[in-house]
Amino acid sequence: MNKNGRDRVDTVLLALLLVGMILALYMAFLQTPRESTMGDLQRIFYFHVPAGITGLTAFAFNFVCSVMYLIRRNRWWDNLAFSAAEVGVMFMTMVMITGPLWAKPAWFVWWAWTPRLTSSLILWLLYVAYLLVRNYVPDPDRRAMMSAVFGIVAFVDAPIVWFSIRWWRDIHPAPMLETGGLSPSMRPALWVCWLVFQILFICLLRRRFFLESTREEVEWLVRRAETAR
Amino acid sequence: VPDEPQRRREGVDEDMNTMNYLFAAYVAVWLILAVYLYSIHSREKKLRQDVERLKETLGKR
Repeated sequence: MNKNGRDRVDTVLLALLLVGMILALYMAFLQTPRESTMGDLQRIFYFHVPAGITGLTAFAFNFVCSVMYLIRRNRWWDNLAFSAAEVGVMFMTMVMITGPLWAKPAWFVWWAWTPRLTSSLILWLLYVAYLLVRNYVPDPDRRAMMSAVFGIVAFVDAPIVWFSIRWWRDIHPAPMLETGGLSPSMRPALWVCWLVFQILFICLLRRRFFLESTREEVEWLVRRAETAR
Repeated sequence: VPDEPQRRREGVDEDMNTMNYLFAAYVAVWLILAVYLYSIHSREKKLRQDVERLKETLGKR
């Protein structure tokens, strides 16, 4: 895609994101009814849950790109995998901060070592390690290969996070959409917030990927400058 | 047993307390996003400068 086409896609995505964010804020804070037990505190749910799902989506994307890199050995896949992991860590950081902020007034503790919380923390740490480890491998091909393997192994924890509240007893709220625990009047706000977070993920991933492409261009220019000496 | 005005006051205090947590979570989400966007922007700016500088160096040779 040329620069004009890319700019047009970015403009459309940003317009969608802006309209979506305003709508999501209106629905999460004004349109949905106040929850009877938790009161307004429950409204954290409208960005905690979509951030968590988007973080897992980003890690799944990283997994697919890592597999594709191992098959094709093309750096394009590695750049995409790395971009997805970084954006995923950002969304998971939101989850790791908003979760305890909900837990303190609801459970009277900031943190509990339950299966869902522990596996989520491990997942976050695994991908932080993925980002850090890349800095210590100077050779681009070795770095890409090592990252692909790390990405595939790290993703093993993602299904554990997702299914932990189904497999084991946990004080974390049950999956409300599946169990029907979420009132129908609250569902549209959750879906809209989820959609907005997905658009935000696409916008950030594109931006991060172009940054990685520029970094690759710099590496190539540095190599050319060194051979020209 | 607390009287009705006291119970109402406690309810208001509890509401304010949960609103503080909601506000903190909301601020945290926007802050994380803002910091991340700023970090992408500053890295992009630096890399663009590097590209220009390297192209200039290679052009001179």
